[in-house]
Amino acid sequence: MGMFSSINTASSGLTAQRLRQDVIADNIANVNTTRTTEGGPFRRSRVVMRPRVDQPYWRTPFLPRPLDHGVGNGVRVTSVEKDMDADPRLVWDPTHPDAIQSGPNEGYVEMPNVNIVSEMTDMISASRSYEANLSVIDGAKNMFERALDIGR
Amino acid sequence: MFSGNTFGRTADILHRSMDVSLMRQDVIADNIANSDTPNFRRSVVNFETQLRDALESERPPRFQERLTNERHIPFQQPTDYRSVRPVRQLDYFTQTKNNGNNVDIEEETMNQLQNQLMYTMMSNSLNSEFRRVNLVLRG
Amino acid sequence: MNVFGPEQAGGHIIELHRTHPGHLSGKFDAAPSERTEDFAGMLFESLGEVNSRQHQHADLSVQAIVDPDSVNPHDVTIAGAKAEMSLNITKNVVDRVIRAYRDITTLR
Repeated sequence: MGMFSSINTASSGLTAQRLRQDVIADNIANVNTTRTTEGGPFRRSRVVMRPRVDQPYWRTPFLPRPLDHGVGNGVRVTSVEKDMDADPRLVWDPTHPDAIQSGPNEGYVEMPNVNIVSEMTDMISASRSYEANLSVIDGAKNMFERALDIGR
Repeated sequence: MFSGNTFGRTADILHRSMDVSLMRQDVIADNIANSDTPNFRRSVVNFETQLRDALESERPPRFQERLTNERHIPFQQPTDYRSVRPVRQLDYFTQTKNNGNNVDIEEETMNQLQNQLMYTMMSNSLNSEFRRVNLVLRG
Repeated sequence: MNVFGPEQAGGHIIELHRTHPGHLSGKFDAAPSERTEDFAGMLFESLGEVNSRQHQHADLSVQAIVDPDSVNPHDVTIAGAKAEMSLNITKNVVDRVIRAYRDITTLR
């Protein structure tokens, strides 16, 4: 509780969604990057989000009081990771400078594993969460102003 | 002068409800900020139902029981409304999204709006309670 | 060890063994003190209450500056409204008492 705790929580959400949006923009911009400094094609990045106050969730909804860490404080982005799981797409283009020279995939070019449609969907979801956090801040500000009207 | 009369009781109930409303605002803000975190479960705050039960228990029961022996147990004991505390409850078993998160943004936003309107109304009521007394004391 | 027997259960009221001063008595909010029957006692008691309310409001305001996360915004404003209202009531009561006294003495 307190005066500004919900505003702090919502601003942490704003920061996290903004960072997610930036990562998505980076993925979309690099959809055709076949050569990177660490070798190989571009790999899409993902943000890993954790709540700031980590409650221990078991199979039951009952949290005993000593293990309850209180009302949460928002979200934080712990890391931005490359998605190394999916294999890169192979596109047939033997004249491309980055085509594979030898082996079973000769003549294929490794393209990034960025799917434009899913990135756009993520971007819309991030934008919607951003707007919801903005409305929380607006509501908190409104409530604060109303509280000041008491006794006036 | 503020306890034991209707004014003090109303002001106290309104004050406690406003405290709970702020706590609910915090919980809803946390739910909305964590709407994309995997394996996060939303929480809710329960207070008003328990307060209603405590206030209704102060009224006498519908029909009086006959307590002739001292070991007879009455039907209900009046619960003091000041002992009611807000309870934050984890909502574990509702439908989840694919990443284990069960926060529905539209529902949370609607709850937040409702909470804000309730807070505004309570603040308004409390303000008019004070103003009404000060009105009589002019001059 | 006899925790309780049948003679300690009187219907719905079961007495707890309070053997240590740290054992809780089960009461959470103090009952209002018994008012004295005469007017002077009541007036002085409410003067003390006015003073303590103003101190509470001042303390809450300072605490809101020093540690904003520990205090709610409506706590400060409600304390201010209560302080102002109790001062207003006391001022009016004292004014009326003085006016009544003056009316009685000038009537002679």
